[in-house]
Amino acid sequence: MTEKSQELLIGIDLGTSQSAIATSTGERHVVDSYVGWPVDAVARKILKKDVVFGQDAVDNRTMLDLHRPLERGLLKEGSEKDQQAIRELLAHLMDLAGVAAERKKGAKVRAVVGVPAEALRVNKQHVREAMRGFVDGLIIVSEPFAVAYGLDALLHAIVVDVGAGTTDFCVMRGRYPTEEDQRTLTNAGDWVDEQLAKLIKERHPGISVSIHTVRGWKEKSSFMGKAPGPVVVSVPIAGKPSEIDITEEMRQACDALGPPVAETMLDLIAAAESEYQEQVRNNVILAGGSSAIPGFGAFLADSLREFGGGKIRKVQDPVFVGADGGLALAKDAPKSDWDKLSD
Amino acid sequence: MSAELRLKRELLKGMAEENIEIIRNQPRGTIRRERAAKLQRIRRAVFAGGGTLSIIAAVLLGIAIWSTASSGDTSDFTDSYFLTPDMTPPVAGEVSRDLSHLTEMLTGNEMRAIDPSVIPLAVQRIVVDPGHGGIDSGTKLDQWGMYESDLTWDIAVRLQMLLERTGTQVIMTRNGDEKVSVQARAEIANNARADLFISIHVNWLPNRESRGFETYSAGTTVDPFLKDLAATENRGSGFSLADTRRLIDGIYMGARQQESQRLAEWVGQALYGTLLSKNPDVIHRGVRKAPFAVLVATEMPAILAEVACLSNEREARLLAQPKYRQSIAEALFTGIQGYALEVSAAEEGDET
Repeated sequence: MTEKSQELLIGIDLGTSQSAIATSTGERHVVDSYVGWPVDAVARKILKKDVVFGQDAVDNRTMLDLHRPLERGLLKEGSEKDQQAIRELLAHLMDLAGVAAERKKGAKVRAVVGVPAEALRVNKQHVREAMRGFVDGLIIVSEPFAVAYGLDALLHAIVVDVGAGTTDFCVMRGRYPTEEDQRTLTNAGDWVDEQLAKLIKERHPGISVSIHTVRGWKEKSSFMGKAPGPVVVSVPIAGKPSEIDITEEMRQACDALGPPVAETMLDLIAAAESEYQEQVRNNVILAGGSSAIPGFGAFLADSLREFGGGKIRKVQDPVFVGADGGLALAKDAPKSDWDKLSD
Repeated sequence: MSAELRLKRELLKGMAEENIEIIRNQPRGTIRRERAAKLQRIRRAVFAGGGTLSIIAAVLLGIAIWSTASSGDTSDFTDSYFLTPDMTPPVAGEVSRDLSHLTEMLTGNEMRAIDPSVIPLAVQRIVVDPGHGGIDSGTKLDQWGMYESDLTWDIAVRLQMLLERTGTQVIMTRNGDEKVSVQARAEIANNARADLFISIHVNWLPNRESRGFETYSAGTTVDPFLKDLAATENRGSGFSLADTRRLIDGIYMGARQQESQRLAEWVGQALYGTLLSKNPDVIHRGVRKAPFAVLVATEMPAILAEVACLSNEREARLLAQPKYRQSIAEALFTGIQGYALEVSAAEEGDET
């Protein structure tokens, strides 16, 4: 067989907290969605880099002009630095996955990028603009739709994708999801962090901790419902290292995420055709990094009980499920559609 | 096609449409609304009387109205699947159908509305055969990365979409870039009890200046070039020499040879009418007969269309354009539609 011109397909989950990429060559990478530039020559000399990404950037944030270019799952508007940051982040992801190298060799790169379900048209256009030059063809889809497609949950299913910036919902009803099939809430992982920081501050007015530290505590010790054990953290108070118990604050902050998510899920299920609602209830897919909060799935299952019960299925790989879904869409999209959507 | 595949296709279609609308800065649902409006206009425009000619004329009226209404809309994504106003006079060669006399009837007031379902009544199930595939890439233009198997697949999918929108069931002989033997392709069509078989190919001619398209139905030929062409296409068909002889003998036993010839004429006519405005140098190379195994072994009206010449640089450039490939698919669709209407009208006449 004569070798055909190369084509590299990629799926990208551009997330507020983490961005993941999966390629048709089997590459899979994830990076924390942070981009930092050394603040001065000294910082550059210490870090030995012009741009720092991910956790490395968070760890060295005091020496960096640190940016988290995706806010609530969307590109921030108005800041040139944030726009530059998103392009750096994309370039970094592409480099990690070897995309740039393949493109240099002549491969056509075609990408499907997931964005929040209710992202505005202007946000999608920003993503399109940011991706310009990195790929030869681009399709933007709602993230929960990508998740559903990747898991073959194409009919009578609902995806609840609890990310850092947003919680996205999508009911699959045998058609490409319309606005009425999808919702986005800003009650998500970052929102829990803010609640937790606020509650701690209320109880301990003397302490000063960054949101990054609070996020770390949540990622380590979050729970909903009954506490599995005390949550004790070390924090400087008036310069003196002290241990404080934040079990109650953690419970309150995490518990607060449950009701709006459950309410929206039930609302969307109720909007499905009555004869299929039971199937949808039994096909709830829980995705996203913040869905890993212990007790979250049980809370949603409880909320379904009074409507006849249902089944919550947690995805196996919440980090890559969106990127994998994007890749599945990229693979299945007809060539003719790619032709229409190519630069 | 399985329900899951159909659903996936619907989802992917919606996904592409939404993205196109974003690029064009159009409100969500614009493409679907436009498509619905166009279909409505065509339905309104289709009138008919009692006989073959008036039905064809009615289709042409619909075509003419539609073409006028959509003039200027040359976007890649147009859903127009009818002829351009240039359809009528075929230049020459073996195409003998001159429909100009029918266009004169368009001004007549005596035409009555027909049920659009007349098309599926005649032709409900079509097998579309994208030539080559998999390790057999067919003809190729290496330096441009163009392969016959890719081009035929692209055009076939476009044709499939057009046909399915009319409610016609379409069966593809391959599901992507895979090798399927000629014998298997014929079996797919025969097992499906298809009403029509359309095989799509792209030509490669020794004289690189030669260009244009040609359509084939099954038959014998004394033309040494066609003998060679058929031998090339039949290589690796899965049929033994004895099988092929038996099958060739068989094609004279039924009326389908005539029907295939008619279908080849309609498709050739439509290709010329549609492509001329996009490719003024296009040449209708004729409606021909050749013993292609895939045509011989199928049990229904079957044609093979060499839709363009990849060996000709200008046509290769055109083939590289999605819009041109869409035009080819639209032409194939129109030819099929015309044939189906003719058959329907003939059957109607037989009944009365």
